[in-house]
Amino acid sequence: MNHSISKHKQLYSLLQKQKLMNQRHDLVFSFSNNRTDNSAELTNTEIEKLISHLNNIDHPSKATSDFVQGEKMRKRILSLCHQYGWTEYSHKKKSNVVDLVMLNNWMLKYSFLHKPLNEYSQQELPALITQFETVIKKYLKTL
Amino acid sequence: MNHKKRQLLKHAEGRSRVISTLRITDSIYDDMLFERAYCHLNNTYKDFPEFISTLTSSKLFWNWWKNQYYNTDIEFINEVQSGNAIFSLSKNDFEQYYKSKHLNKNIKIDYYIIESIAREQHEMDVKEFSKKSIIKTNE
Repeated sequence: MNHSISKHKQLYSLLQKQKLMNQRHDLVFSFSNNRTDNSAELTNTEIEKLISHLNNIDHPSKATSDFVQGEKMRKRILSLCHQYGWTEYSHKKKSNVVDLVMLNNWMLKYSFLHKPLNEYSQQELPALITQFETVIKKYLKTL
Repeated sequence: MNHKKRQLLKHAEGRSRVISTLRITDSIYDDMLFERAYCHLNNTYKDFPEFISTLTSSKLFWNWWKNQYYNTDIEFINEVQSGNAIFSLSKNDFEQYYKSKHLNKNIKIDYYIIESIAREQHEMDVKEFSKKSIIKTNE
């Protein structure tokens, strides 16, 4: 574990309180910058950010629904990355996984708001998906 | 090197490694790729033969399909390289294992691909219709 047991307990009690237990893997995935979905592998800084996020949720149900919607769209982007070939083989997962370095470089340079994927809001993500689909269509047509 | 060139190189390398690993010919490899595509389409759209024919006459579909197929090939090659027990399989079983790897892959044709193909088809139909109308008018 990369953080203290007390922080781990605090995280779980907050997840329980905010009724976000079922979304914990998605939350961890997002707060670890898509590195892991296992809360034990969160770094100290990451778990602190997640705890602070959970502490600041005023309206759990709205926050949950926004988060879930946003996560669905982020997963769509990751699925499009597979189609575009931005993948590398993970020996741990025994399958291709998204090459996050490549994705993040592209996001900063070419995505329409020039910021990392996790900083796109739920409202901004549909336009990003359209941008991705256009890029991939163009790529597939010229192969 | 741009992304397209890098991908083409990666795919060509993956393809030649599958061919040498399975000890098959280029044409057998191509047969497997096409057979898998038709098998997938017939299972997924068995009641829509016209739709299957529209998809399979589109370059976009085939480029998309090959991309998916090569991605699975890369997984297969990495699995072989990592010294998995499949190495001890006989040539026939090895080939079956490769086929099952592709068969078990959950491939779904994305709606934006279908939408683009439908648009392409519509544009072609309109062109064809205009051509026929011009010929008729001239007659």
